[in-house]
Amino acid sequence: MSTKTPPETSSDAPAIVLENVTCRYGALEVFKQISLGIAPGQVTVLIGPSGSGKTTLLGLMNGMVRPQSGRVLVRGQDLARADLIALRRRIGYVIQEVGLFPHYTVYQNIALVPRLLKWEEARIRNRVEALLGLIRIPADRLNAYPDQLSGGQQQRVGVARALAADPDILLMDEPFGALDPITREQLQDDFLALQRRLHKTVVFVTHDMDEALKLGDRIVLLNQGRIVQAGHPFQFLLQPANDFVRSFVGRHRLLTAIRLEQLQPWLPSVQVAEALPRQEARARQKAPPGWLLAPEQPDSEPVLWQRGRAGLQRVQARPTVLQATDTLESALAVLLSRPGSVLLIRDEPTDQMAAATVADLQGALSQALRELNPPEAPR
Amino acid sequence: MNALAGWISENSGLLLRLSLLHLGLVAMSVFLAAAVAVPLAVALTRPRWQRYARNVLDVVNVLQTVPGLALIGFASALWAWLGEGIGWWPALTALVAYALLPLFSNALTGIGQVPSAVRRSAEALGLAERQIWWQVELPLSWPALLAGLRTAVVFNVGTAALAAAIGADCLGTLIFQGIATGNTTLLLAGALPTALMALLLELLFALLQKRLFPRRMAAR
Repeated sequence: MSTKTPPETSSDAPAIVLENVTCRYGALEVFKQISLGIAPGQVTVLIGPSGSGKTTLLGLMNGMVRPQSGRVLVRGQDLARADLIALRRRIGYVIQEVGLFPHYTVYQNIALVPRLLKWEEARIRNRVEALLGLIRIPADRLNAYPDQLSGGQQQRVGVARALAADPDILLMDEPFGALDPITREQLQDDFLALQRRLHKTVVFVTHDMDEALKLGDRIVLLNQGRIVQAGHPFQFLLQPANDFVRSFVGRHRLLTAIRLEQLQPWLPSVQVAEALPRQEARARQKAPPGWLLAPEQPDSEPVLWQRGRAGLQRVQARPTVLQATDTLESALAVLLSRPGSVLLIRDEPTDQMAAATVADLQGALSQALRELNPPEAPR
Repeated sequence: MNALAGWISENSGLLLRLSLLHLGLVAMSVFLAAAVAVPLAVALTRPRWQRYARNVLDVVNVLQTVPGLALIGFASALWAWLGEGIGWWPALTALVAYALLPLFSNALTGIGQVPSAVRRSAEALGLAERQIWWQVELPLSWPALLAGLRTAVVFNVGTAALAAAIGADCLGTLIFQGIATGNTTLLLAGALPTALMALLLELLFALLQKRLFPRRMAAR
């Protein structure tokens, strides 16, 4: 029911594995004996202050950085023995400075990797056009050069270039870091919507905790070349491992960072109907207890009903409906302003509805936390 | 002036031969210099060799600082030691050395100006070293390379005239003969085509640059 991949991942083997990796630049030790697995189909966010080694960690995953000792495995293949050129063509890569080829048009930039892979031109054209729709760039920009695009558009093209050959792994190094706050928010939302459809294995570097909490299925917090804490965003919010994590997360973020979609799996779902079923209105004992949203008369406004042992009970007309992507804060604001009210939470992509009271939210939160325990131990 | 026109019409064959030899010296020397300078610049922009770029540039700079005639003298001496000190080969050697600086320094600058983000993403998306050069670095440093070519060609049209001093036949031959015999007509018959050649080549390159890279200027 959750649109994000549930926290307890499938038993799939990790897409990327770092085993006891030590990395050094001259005398400077970036990592010592670090180990990390990246789950497939999820967004793993690497976060930390500058100099914490997050970009280096990302570079290890496509062989741009070689470890002094330890192993890096991508799709089970040891990079020390891999054809790195071929490997990189199957891993998308997006960086903050975008790095589009300035002498290539939008089309040529997106077509770059498919051309390296020697796709047929017709297939490339189809793919580029499909991607333009996905990243919401108008088709008349195909022949524009990067310097004729806005910063946000350039990065959208950068994302399309990374996705062009449909790689299952995407490495993103602060991709939205150089954009203004409004554009950044848009691109984050679009990225999330895209990820819900594509389910790529994404490793996302940022130094912005809000971005990490918003985008990550899993967060890995680094400091001075060590993993301080790794786990679900909830754990960072509710169970920070130490004072460093606490200060990095920031107390005020708790309510805004928890999104309703993350709680929705644990909230009671709501059945939506066009009208009250005639039968049920009478023989209600058979129906399981739960919520029902249906108009009292055909064509009248929807009313929230509760099914119980006593039968169908009218609860509330025109209940407030929030989106699953809204924050816990906004849900509490609604519920606390009208004591005793019930809130509906709608998940846009699946069209599922959940209902929540203050007590439900509290229950969902503690249930979510319980399922995440025990927290992954920091290495 | 009439005397000059008369000389030219009587000796058009000779003038054409000397002009072609002159042009040949320039073309050959610039081509050879480019064949040395550009690969050298490519090598010296790789991380492995990058730290030597400054030293090599200093050496090339010194070559350029030596006056043209002196350089021709040195080349002649070098070739004399090897066997034959006069003629085409010593002249060509001096001219190649002379054309190195503009080509090398412009190539170095041009390749250095390729944004590191572009190079990094090219590498990360799976372009091989060679593909990065042909598809990214060369096209992006091409304006700088052409500017270097332009400077080298125009320089060498002038310097090639001096090569007549060591017996390489070119338009300089007429100038030197004119000076030696006090014959102004002969002197001008060499000097004017030399100047004209420099101007025409300069113009040609200007047009070429405008034609090849209009986008930067035309965009917006």
